[in-house]
Amino acid sequence: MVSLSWYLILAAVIFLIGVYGVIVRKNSIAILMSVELMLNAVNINILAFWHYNTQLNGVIDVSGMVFAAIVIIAAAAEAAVGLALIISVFRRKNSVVAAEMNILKG
Amino acid sequence: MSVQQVIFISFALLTVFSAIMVVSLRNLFHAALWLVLALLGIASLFALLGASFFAAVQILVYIGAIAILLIFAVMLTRNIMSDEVTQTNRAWGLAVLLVSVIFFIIIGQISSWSGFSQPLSEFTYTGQETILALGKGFVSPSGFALPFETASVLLLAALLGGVYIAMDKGKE
Repeated sequence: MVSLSWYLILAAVIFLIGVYGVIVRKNSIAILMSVELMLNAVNINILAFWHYNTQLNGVIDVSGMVFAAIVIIAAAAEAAVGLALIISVFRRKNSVVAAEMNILKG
Repeated sequence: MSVQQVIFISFALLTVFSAIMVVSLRNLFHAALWLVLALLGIASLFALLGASFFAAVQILVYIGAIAILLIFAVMLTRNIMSDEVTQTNRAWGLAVLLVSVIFFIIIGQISSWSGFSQPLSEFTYTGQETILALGKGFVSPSGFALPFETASVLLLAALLGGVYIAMDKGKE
């Protein structure tokens, strides 16, 4: 039997790989990809706990699935707006490097 | 070792390897393709958890929409960052250290919880039953009807905002 701890450890590993990518990458599109990895790790965690809660209580737990759906919706909105921002910055500055996005600097 | 454990370990290794390739490859286009593989591995883990609806949604939304959007953005901005330039900043050693420290803190904290090594048994429900419960939860006013409607408004706002932000205003 696969136990809950396997899923939790896997989710922690994928989340931290995403954190590493967000810290280290220069290209802002690559940073968005790492954010997607982090959101997916969160979803693995939510669904693992949903399975655990369902088998513990004997009834299908709805709120866990709703949480996972909301995370997917937020990820879709984030990807759309984030990529639009990157395209807009690319038009203005001809660069997608995160360190060069300093137009708002006073 | 049971069949489920073998399946879990093989998909987990596939996912972790693809995730490492996503954050370490120089060629961003290849990184996006590895991201597709990582998302596919995560979808199969959802199927293993009994969340068949989310396995399908993962493939439709993430691989079908978000990964394609990322690939489009990579291709639109491709000529700027050539693949020979190093893609990571100088802090990568510090980042590895930070990430491993956080990993051991997280594992140390959650392994003291009593349910940590609880085995997850196979569901007796069919896939339709869980989807039916989710659908009822989403439309019932005592359940999650309001968050569901708010989420659809959020998606509409993100769509309009994305179109407005990315619009080329200089050429009018």
